[in-house]
Amino acid sequence: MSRRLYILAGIFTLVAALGLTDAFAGSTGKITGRVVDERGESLPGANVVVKGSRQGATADAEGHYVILAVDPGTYELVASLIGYNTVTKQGVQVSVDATTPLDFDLQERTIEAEEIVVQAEAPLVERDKTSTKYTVSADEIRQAPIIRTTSEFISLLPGVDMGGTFSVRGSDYAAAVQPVIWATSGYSSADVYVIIDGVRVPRGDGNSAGLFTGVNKSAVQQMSVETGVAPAEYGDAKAGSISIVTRDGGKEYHGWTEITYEPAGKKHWGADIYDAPAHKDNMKWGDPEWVREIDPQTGRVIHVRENYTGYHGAVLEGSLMGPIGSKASFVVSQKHERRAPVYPDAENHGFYSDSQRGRFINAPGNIQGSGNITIRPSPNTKLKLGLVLQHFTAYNGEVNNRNYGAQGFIRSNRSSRAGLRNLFLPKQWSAGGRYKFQEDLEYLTFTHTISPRTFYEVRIARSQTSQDTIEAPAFTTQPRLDEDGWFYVDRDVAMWIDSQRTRWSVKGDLSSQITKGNLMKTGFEVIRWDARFVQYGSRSAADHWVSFYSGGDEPWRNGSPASPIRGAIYVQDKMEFEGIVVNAGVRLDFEKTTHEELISAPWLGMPMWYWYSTRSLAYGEGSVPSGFEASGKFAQTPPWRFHLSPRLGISHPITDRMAMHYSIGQFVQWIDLFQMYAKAYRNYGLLGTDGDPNWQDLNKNGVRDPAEEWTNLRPNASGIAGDPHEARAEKSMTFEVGVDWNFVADYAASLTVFYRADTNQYSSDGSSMSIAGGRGGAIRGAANSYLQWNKGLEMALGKRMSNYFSFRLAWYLQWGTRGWAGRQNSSRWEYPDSNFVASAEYWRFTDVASDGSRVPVVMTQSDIEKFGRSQENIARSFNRRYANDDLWFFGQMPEVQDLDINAYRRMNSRGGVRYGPMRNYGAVGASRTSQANLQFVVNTPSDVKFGPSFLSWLVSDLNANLLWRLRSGSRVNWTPPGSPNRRTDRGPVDASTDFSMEKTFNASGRVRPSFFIEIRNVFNDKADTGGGQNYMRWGLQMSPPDNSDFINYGDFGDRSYFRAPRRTNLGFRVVF
Amino acid sequence: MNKKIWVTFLTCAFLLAAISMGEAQESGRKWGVGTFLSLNAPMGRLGDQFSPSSKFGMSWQYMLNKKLYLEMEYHRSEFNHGKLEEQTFTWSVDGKDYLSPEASTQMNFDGGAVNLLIFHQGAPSLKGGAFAYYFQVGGGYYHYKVERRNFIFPGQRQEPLDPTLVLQPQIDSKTALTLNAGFGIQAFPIDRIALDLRARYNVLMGEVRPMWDWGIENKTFPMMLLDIGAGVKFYFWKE
Repeated sequence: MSRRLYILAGIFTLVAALGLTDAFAGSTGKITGRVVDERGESLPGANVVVKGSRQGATADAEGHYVILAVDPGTYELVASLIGYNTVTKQGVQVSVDATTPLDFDLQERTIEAEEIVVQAEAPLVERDKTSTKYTVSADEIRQAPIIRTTSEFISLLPGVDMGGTFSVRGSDYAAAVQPVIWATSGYSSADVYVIIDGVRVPRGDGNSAGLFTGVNKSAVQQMSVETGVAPAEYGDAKAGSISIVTRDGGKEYHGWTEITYEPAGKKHWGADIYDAPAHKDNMKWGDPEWVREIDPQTGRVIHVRENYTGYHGAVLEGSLMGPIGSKASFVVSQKHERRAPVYPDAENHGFYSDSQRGRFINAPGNIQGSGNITIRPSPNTKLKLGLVLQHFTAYNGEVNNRNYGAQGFIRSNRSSRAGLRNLFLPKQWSAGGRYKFQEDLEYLTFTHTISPRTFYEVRIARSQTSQDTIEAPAFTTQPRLDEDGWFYVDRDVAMWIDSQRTRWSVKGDLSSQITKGNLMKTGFEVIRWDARFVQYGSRSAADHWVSFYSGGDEPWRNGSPASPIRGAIYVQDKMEFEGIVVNAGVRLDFEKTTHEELISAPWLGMPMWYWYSTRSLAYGEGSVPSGFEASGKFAQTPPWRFHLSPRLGISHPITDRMAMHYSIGQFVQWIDLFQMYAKAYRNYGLLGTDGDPNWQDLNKNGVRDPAEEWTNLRPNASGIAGDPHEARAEKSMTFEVGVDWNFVADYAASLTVFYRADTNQYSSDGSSMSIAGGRGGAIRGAANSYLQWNKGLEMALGKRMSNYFSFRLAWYLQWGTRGWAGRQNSSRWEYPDSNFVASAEYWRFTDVASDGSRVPVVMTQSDIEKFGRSQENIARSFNRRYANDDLWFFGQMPEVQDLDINAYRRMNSRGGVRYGPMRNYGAVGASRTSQANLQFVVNTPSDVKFGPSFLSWLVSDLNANLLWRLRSGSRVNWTPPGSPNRRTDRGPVDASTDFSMEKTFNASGRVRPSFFIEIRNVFNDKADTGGGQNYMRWGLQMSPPDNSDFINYGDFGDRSYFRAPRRTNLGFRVVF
Repeated sequence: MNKKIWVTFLTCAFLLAAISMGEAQESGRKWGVGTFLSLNAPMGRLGDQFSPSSKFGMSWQYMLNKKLYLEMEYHRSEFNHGKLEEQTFTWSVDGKDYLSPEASTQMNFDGGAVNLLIFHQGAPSLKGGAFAYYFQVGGGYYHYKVERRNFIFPGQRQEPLDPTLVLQPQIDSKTALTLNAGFGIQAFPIDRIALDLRARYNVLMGEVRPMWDWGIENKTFPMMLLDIGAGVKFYFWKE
């Protein structure tokens, strides 16, 4: 044992110096083992072949063999050697980034040669697992039809949020927004590295837009989720990796098609929405005049009652795969949903979006699918072309302002404020028009096995997310109401997103089994964006604002894309020594912004740029009159950023059935492109002569000159300004210890304890440009000062399929807290001094040229003295108040170059803590402290004998799934009576059970149809909303009994339970 | 009996029976039916609200092998007049304690479970005089309903307190996944009939809401009960 300790210590030292990691392509695994004879002597020269493929290896002098780059799946391996019986092992399972150990014992051939066939059994404890990782195979996917999507499978694994957010171990609750104009609380999917066939699915460029995976479950060969310390190959992600490997076509044609029928019916609790108590006396179906009321503007009858519960729904999914000649194969998979919404919506059908946490999108014409072609030109090469796609067109209901534009926006009940009052808005209509949305990913992967021990892969990919408007109004009109002044009727709301984000990526990896116990891998990846993103919103006819990012510091370059480059190089090594496996690696991430940005976010508030303008006013050289020297470029290209991330994992077998692992690693994650480059402007009530808020007639010529577009905008104090000179990557450090134990037969358990500290989390501070006379302004700039830590347990207990049943119980418990340190709790005040005021690059007002553009008004000497003195007073004031806080002179800042100006940044540490200890903000947001799920699967065999033959037939080839889920309640902050302290408790838990049963016919035949029934929320349980002080004090989950509305009308919250009532769907599937 | 429990129970029984009996008829496996009566004691926070009560049920068991029996059971248990009925609250307006004279609390369970009886030293021979002990683990779904009615609303602001203004009925009703574990002994006074004595701890993934003003400061989750009981089992088998 002591020898092992010395060895371990040596390995630690070596690793600390070198940096190595687990070494596999992101989409293949490895088979390794030893070929021996019946005496245990090695058999060099023995051949081991993957049956049906051209992959194989020859045993070396010690009988060892290794087969690299094996696609995940189940195989037969054949070992042979002249003079010995051939041994075939069936059911050999290969997983991504894992080693499948497989030894062969060959017997000397007797006169009657025979082939020995053995059923291999995948070990329940992976001995080379150095980090917490869970894998779902195609078989498990097939056995659990109750789980409908890849996202749902992933969400059931320990450590992954079951709400479909792709949040792993409590990742990133702080900075998440959904793509709406005003931030709503939500979860960001940005923290996870998602790979499809080894190709990264990009994110982090759409203002924390939802993560798109897009692969239907029928096309999945294997999925794995690494919640622990991912190897150095994966980066720019703080919270683990999700890998999806799609199926290859194979040598025979196979297909899978399924239709699920959803009967009509009410899909929510409480009364029919037209009879909801919350309407009070505003529904007047007994009043003929009210019923017949016509909107004078549109001529339509307003109060129309819709039978919204009468719509049936269906989901159709299918896949087809097969060979193309002898060297190629294909897979294509498509899914289309026509599902009824829960409440009256713009359309009668749509789909539930995986990437938006299951949100309903009113888009009947939706499609999602994937496809690939795999070509094997030679035994050593493989080419895979793939496509993943989602496309739909919908009425604009996703981008709306929950507080303002929601009034009369769209009829779906999404806004708690305006929802019920929107009920009589028209069908197939939205105040914001429509939008079309598309996500697509195209990729090419090339794998070349150079030698039996070395191979490389190259992946080239292009992905794009595009969203564009259709018939979006130009500006917002006033909300309109019916004659009673209660229900909203048609209006226009100018609120939309226009975005196109294209990413080009190249990834190359070289893997080599250098020695028997040493698998090295090195590689690189580079992603280049061409991305632009515009969010426009107009709360009223007079108020509009826009946030955007693009490739230019000058505001008028909105439209030209930003093209940053991000990438990494890494090296990693997997060492195996006397049963101990060490994965170690190091990764270098880099980032480069390729366009110029203002040297500091608050500088948008400099008076020279007070107004958005379509022409350059002053950005450094070339902008000053002759005779003056420019003091430097105020817009510069940010420097390269580099970050080093070491990773280390160790697997230590305890017994043949138990292994422990330890891993630690640092991760960095670049912030979202929107947070990096955004600018936010607002018109503050200024309008053009025609009432259009998007221009001003500056030159009073009555013509909308091009130079006058958007010239009534100035920086939005509530908006976010990107600050790539200041912003840094977010960081995370993760440590975990885990144990896996195959305690008996097919049963295994795993337990992991983890700790993760997230530092440098993105936040926006309160930045200001302090200009005397009110010509400055506030803006929220980037500040990496949010902190978060999580610790917890992940536990899994399961049994693989044997004796006709299997189960998996996953339980996850976490504690998290967040806080601030550093600049979040302070502001930065930036200001010029008198010398800058006196320079030719500074002015306070603009005049209007004949073309409508703004031109500087040169300051008089008197103005220079007056405002210069005022700026000096500002500087002295800050010096006095914040004497102990940092002061920077912009010319000395390392992030900007060749700047020689008299402008300063003073950190205002108002609030106390600056770079001190983290101030505890409290438990992490709305994070669940615990969640658990149980999947139970029963597969009856084909030959069950049970009573009469009809019954025997009926219970044969049955698959039954039970899925139970539980999530702890959301946080309730309240103050108990008589207590001075606030406390935090948890609201009601959310638990439900789903069940499905499937009967397969002709199970052993070529075509296998099956009929299934699935029941969601079998026991029709309500997941109570609860929460709040009333719940804690009196157990109340509705209005108090003395509430007048409750007394007169009933419970207003009768529809607000989380979980939908029981739903029974029927389906038919054909597999061939 | 709760319909949902019956449906679930029968479906599970159907499936498991289909699997196991397919083999049983080949090899003469033993099966039996039984009934039992237990003392059912709420534990933890649930025990602060309800006193022990009785539980009765029936079961069907089937021999999987020489050490394992599969058992399916249904049971019902009712708890009336919970302790909360006698609990007062302090009204914040006058600082006095008040009892809700019409308050009622009750709780009932309808449970179905599938259990595994592990006879550590082998299953009994089913002959008179045989004796064996076992460990038992199982799981299932228990439907529970906890009702609290007619508790005076403490949030009133006007004096005097109106005793007729009561909280809406508070009903926690769910069908909760339940795990249980315990041990027992089976003794056969005569052939094929066994006396079964068992102690078992049940953990339900269900909850009962808090009522801080009445001293229930936190919600009760999970719900836990200990049952100790005796039953009779009748065994049959095909020779």
